[in-house]
Parts: sequence; structure tokens; C-alpha cells
Amino acid sequence: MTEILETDVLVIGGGLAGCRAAIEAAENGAETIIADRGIIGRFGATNCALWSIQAPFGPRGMDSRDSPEQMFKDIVVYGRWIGNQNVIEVIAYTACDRILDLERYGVKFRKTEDGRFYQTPFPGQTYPRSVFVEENGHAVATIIAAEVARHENVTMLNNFFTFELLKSDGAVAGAIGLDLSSGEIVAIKAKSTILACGGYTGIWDLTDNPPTLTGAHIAMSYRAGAELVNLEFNDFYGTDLVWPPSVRGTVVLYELLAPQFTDGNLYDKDWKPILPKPLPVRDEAMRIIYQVIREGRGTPHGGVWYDVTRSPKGKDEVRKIYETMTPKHYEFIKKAAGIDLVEEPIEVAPAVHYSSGGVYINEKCEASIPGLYAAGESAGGYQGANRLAGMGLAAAHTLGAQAGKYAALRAKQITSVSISQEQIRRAERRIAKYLRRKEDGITPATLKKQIRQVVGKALAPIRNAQVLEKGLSEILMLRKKMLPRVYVPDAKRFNLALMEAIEAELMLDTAELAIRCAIFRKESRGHHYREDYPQMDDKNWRVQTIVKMEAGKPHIFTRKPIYTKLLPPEVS
Amino acid sequence: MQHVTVKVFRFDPEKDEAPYYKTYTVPVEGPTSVLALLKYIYEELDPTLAFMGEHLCYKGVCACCVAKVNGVVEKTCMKIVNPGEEVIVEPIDGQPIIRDLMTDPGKQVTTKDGVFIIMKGALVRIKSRKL
Repeated sequence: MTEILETDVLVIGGGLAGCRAAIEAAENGAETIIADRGIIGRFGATNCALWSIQAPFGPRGMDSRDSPEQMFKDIVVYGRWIGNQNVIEVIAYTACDRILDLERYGVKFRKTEDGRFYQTPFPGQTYPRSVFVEENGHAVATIIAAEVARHENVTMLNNFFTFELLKSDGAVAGAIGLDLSSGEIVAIKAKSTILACGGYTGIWDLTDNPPTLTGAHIAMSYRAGAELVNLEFNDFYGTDLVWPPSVRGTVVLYELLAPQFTDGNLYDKDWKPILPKPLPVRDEAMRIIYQVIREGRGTPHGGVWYDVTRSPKGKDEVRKIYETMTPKHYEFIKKAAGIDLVEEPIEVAPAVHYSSGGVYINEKCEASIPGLYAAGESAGGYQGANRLAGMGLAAAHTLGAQAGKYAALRAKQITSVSISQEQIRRAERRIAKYLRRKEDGITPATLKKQIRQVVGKALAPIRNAQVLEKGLSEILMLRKKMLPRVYVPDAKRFNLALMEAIEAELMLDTAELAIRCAIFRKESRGHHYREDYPQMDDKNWRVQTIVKMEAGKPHIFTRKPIYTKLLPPEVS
Repeated sequence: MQHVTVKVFRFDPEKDEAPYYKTYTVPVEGPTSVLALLKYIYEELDPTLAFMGEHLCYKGVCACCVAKVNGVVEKTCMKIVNPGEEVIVEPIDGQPIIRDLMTDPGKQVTTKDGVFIIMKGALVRIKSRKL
């Protein structure tokens, strides 16, 4: 029998976006539940983030010429004109206030001697705009989680895996989840529901995000009838470790191979250098690397060699570079795999870094169906075709606060919501079928591995119609042939395999939608590169890809981005 | 192929009268983290194992993966075992055991009277014995 909890606002996800949403909802008088599949403040992508958050402090930072107007413009232009400007306005114009909130909660930022925010420049920022968080995203995540706990009207649920949105009269009325600790199914009745559970990078076989970010929110929103936007856009990073398993996914900066740093290089299996000098920019570099791997010139574990051992700078100087630039990662690789990358070559490959696609939202973070909100990486359509450095966390806390505020406002206007017992029964039956013993059973881990291999090949740094269509048919085949074979051993408490079975089912939906959107967009733009359509086509494709369920099937169409302040250049 | 012997604390409060230890042999190609060993056991040998799963922060900071390794509390993502070695993995002390290696961090509740942590769980180990 499913337990039913009731609240005004339900927040799904306990990273920066979710915690900030919960704080804002609670401070606007809403009873709030925040649920995370792991431990709030420790489990999500925020914890993995480095130190950079964009905030246009201007005279209070490093360059008095910077302004919210300039930040707005940078996001619009480098997003290749397909970001919604109503949402970008919220991010650019509230970014500084949200940083001051974080400071009030106790997050430490690096300052100049006269008390201004220390900011570093990154590509795509007209003026240095990334403020510097001491102790990285880890500090942000844990400090904001502690701030959430200070609010009396917030209940925090850990180890709670949400897998279905509740619907009532066309609106979202909360969600159903599996309380891993108790093994019980729990329905949470809510007047407003906020998705703040990161991206869907975990459907790929190689990502530098926690592999647990498998995009359940994409499948859940789709099944509830919400619109999703730009699912074909995901950012890659060129050089993440592929081997050994202990450190798979760990970022190693290719920028440090530049002559002014280590002057190392990447090599193919015959030890031919791969990268030209000066180093190409990120999207070019990842395509060069992927091409080598695709041609079968890669390393034993499907990467290329990252080698600084023959650097003319000498080992001591090279070591100092890693110890100063990326000390935590350098130490982690040493401690987790016993590898000192200064002493031996390592195998790296392009990995998925961020999901620019997500749930379609307006400037209030409202999704296309009432009662549903999305914030941070779970939301989409504002980063455009290309996300700038420092924009992940900037979008998380600005949109988190926005979603929390409007979700609380809606909760005030509604007296009560009803939920369907039939929907809960259906969810219970859905869980039960995985626990039924099967003759030719496979584990959910096996299915997840297969999905990730298909997605990794199809939604690769270089795409074409043929590989995408092949990927799509393989995903459809996995759903038809393999999903019914998934079998989970019977255990009530913390049944990891049961959670992963539901997760795999949702991953199939998310993978199918993302591949279909990549097939649909017949041009190359930002990180979506189609070798069969290698040009950016502003005449036909300076638009967003929208997908939603219609009559049980995905319906894909284009929509013009919302331009509030800046109009794109005329297409000749 | 080289191997690591992993002895894992197992206890399901719904089924077991007392905790026990189960031994697994895991093939490795070189030094491997305890977390990667647990992942291998769960994915390839025994899907009934309850542990924190595949979450990874890549920097050894989030501490989601803490457990006792050979009697010492460690972040399992950063604790290496060499081929040929044997390792004992147990849940951390002081928190109720949900199942196997998973413990309940409790629910933090803030009221007018203060901040409390409410724990519901099955078993709290008071004293461990050397194995």
C-alpha cells in the first residue's frame, strides 16, 4: 500500500538548483519537500563542479565595463541565437544577487585586497566574469544544503528515487517515488512540482558528470505531456579518462598541453601526435580526437594517449602545473588508480559534460503543463547550442530561485489537488513486474550498459543520419527485447537493482527522444555536428527543436526562439 | 588475469537473523579502488549487494561512498587495492544499517526547540571484532 505525503511544493533534486528552489519556496511560505535519489547536497553534479560561476559584477568585480546587458548578449550570441531571451534575462539580471545570497549562506568567494570579487576570464566572456568559489562546487552544494535544513517548513528526503509525475485534470499534482531506505513506494501530492535533477549525461557511456544523472526527468516530463526542447544539444569535453575503471570519466585538461604549460600532446596507437599547435578550441579538438578513435587508430580501451612524459619542460615543472591548476583531479587519479600522469601516458576520449536540452520553460520556470516547473540543467532552451564556462551553476541558482518563487505563488492560489488512485496502482504494478522471476532474466546493470553503448555511438561528437538511425533502431530493439527480460532480486530495503530497473526503463525514453531530435536537426550548430550537414543553416534552422507526446508517440517540430532584446543578424 | 579477494559485510534486516560476511573474487588488471570493486561485484557477480551505486564526484570530496575498509573509515573511491590482496569492506559505525553497506544518515528536522536527527534503521553495531 502506497504511503501518501502532502505538500505545497515538491522539489526533485538536491543540488544547487533544487536547494535554492526549496529555500525560495519555503521563504515564500510554502510547505516544501525536497527529495534526492542520493544524499541532498552531496550527490548531484554541483558537487563535481569547479570554482567558476558567472556573475557580471562590473565595478564590484574585475572589470567595470561588465554588466548584466553584456552577460545577456554573450549568452545569446555564443548560444548561436537559439536560446530563449526571456529566460536568459532572468539569469543575467539576477546572477549577482544570487551570488550575494550564497555569500550570506556562508559560501566563500575569492576577493581582491580592496574587497572586490576576484573574477577570471573564460572564452566567450567579453570581460572576466567567473567569480571564484573557494573549495569549488563541493562547498556550494554542502553549504546550501545546510541552509535548506535551517528552514522549518522544509522536509528533506534522502535516498528517494522519483520516477513518475502524478497528473490530475491536465496538471501535474506531485510525483511517485521509491523510498530506497524503506523499500516503500511513496506518492507525494503537491500543488507545484519543480524538476531540478541535473541533466541526462548519464545515458552516454562516457561522461564526467556523476553517472547517476540519467535524465529520469526527461522521460517523466515526456510521459506527463510536457514539451522538451533542444535534446540534441549536449556539450562534450575532449579529454576524459577512459581507463582504468576506478577513474573512468575523470577530466584531464587538454588545455594544459599548450606550449605555455606542459607542451605535451595526444597520440594515436602508433604514437603519431594528434593535436596541432596552437591548440584548437574545444569543439574542434573533440572532433579531431573522435575522428582518430572512429578510424580505429585509438588505444586498447577506446581512447587516445594523453602524454606529458616527453614534455621538454621536465617532470618537476610538469608536475607543478597539475598540482596548481587541477590539484584535486591530479590527486584523485593517483589515489584511485595508482597512476601518476606525469610519469605515464593515460587513455582519454571525448565525454559528455552538460545537457543544454531539457524541459521547455518560460521566464517563471513554468513548463508547458500547469503545476510543473524546471530549473538548472533539467530545464532547456536558454543555453542555446553552446554553453559558456561558468554558466552551469549560474543557471542553477538563478533559475532555482525563480522556480521556487513561482511554485510557491501557485501553491497559494490553489486550495487542494486530487490524485488518481488508479495512477498509483499502475505504478505499483510497474514496479512489481521487475520483481517477477524470469527464465532468461538480465540485470538492469546489463541493460544500462547496452543503452549507454548505443547512445555513445549514435550521439557522438560527429553524427550522421546513418549512425543516428542505427542507434534509434537499437534503442527501440532494447525496449522491445531486453527490457521485458530485466529481473531484480527480491529485497525490500535499499534495492539498488530495483531502482536501476526503473531507471533503465526511463533511460530508454530519454535516449530515444534525444536521438530522434538529433536526426530531426539537419544542420551543424554548436556541439551538434552532423557530417552530412556540416554547415550552420541560419535560414532554416535558427530555431528550437521541440518534442512532446501526441497520441502516445513523439511529435517533433520547430519553434522560433523568444527574442526580447536582441534580434539576430539578417540571413542573406 | 590477476584477482582481488573482497570480503563484504552482508545483512538484510528483513531476512537475516545476524550479519555475515560474503567473499567475492574480482578480476583486476592493476590497482583498483574499493568502489570499483563493489561496482564490479554488483554488476557482474551479485545484484543483491546494497551499496551506494555508481555515483562518483571524481575528486574524492562528496564522501557519499564512505565505508570501513580493513577496519578504517575510507572514501572507497580513493582507497586502492593491489592485485593479489584481500580486503574487508563494512558499513561505517554509529548509523543504523539499512542493508549491507548502506547506513541511514537520518532525517534532519528543524523545530522551534532545535535541530534533531531522526534515524530509523535496523541494526547499530556497538563493537566490532577483528576478523
